Amino acid sequence: MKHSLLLTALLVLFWLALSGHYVAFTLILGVLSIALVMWLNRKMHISDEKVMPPLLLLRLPRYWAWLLLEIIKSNIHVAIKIWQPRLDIQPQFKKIPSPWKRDVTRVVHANSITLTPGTVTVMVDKDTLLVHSLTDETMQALESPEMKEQLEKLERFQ
Amino acid sequence: MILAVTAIALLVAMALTLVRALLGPSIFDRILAVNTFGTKIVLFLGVYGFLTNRPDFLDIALVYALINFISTLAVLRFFESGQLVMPKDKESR
Amino acid sequence: MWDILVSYCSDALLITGSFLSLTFAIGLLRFPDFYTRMHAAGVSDTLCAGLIVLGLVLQAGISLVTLKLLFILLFLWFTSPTASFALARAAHRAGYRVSEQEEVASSNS
Repeated sequence: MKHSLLLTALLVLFWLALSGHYVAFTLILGVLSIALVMWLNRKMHISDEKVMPPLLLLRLPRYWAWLLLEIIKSNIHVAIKIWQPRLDIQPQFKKIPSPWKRDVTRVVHANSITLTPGTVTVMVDKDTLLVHSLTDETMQALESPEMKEQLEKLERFQ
Repeated sequence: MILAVTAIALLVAMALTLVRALLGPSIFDRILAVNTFGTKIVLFLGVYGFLTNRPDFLDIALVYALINFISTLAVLRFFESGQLVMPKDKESR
Repeated sequence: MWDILVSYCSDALLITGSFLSLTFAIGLLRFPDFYTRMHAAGVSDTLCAGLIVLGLVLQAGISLVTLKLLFILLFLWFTSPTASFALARAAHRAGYRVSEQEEVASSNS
């Protein structure tokens, strides 16, 4: 229930931000579309407390700030690799442990890996991720304890 | 001026991406190329809207970003199973 | 004074973004196989998109346009890893391997 209210509030804000025309007719259309989305959401279980714990929303911005730094670093790394006259890459597959209790944390983990250039999640198993990495360095960054710490904080916060 | 340079750079990048889409060799290379081509179109639409002073283009870019995502997934599904509705889905319904 | 500074910042962001978009395109052509090309595409989806959209945000100032731009960025950053993952998984499932050696290395570790 709390989650539905939160979601509705977010949808209303989203609609108001995108619309820009605040006349009765469009407002009615907006209410109808939000009602439709909420109905579909209830029917298809797209988003509920399990998928998106409200507390996680508070913690995520700090995680994103850290992730953004990582993304910038690895972007520069990959850009340099692309421009180097001789290709100096060590493409490799590796299994990375992902021992998270909650699915959300695993999704965040896998998506963060894909979002950082130089590493892509290929497969998600119960407690491992199969990762493809462009170079040795990007793979080392993934296995660093720093990422584990960040994710642990995220999991504890739920 | 800078906006025009950005638009041209995006167009060149899009052309190079199309070359990759045409070369292939595998179907996944082509899908990857088309997907990133879509990302570039979204950015180009945004820049073009600013270039011509018509912010309405941003709405198109927004919708395009979503359609691009869904179409990529749909195409992938189609190539994995040969049909858009997977047998798994039918069972759960 | 402030306006000039903001416009210079916006120019710098846009130029870096365009440079990165070209970088990614070259990477897409240069890299030897599908998975490595995917990493090049990652550059375009994350930092390149971020820089160009932020450059536009600085030009727009605070308005609904800014909000829309940020939504575009949010959508791109949320959907691109999902699409990339789906693509990588599909390729892996279809049996697309770079070489046998790499697979052996992965199963040993």
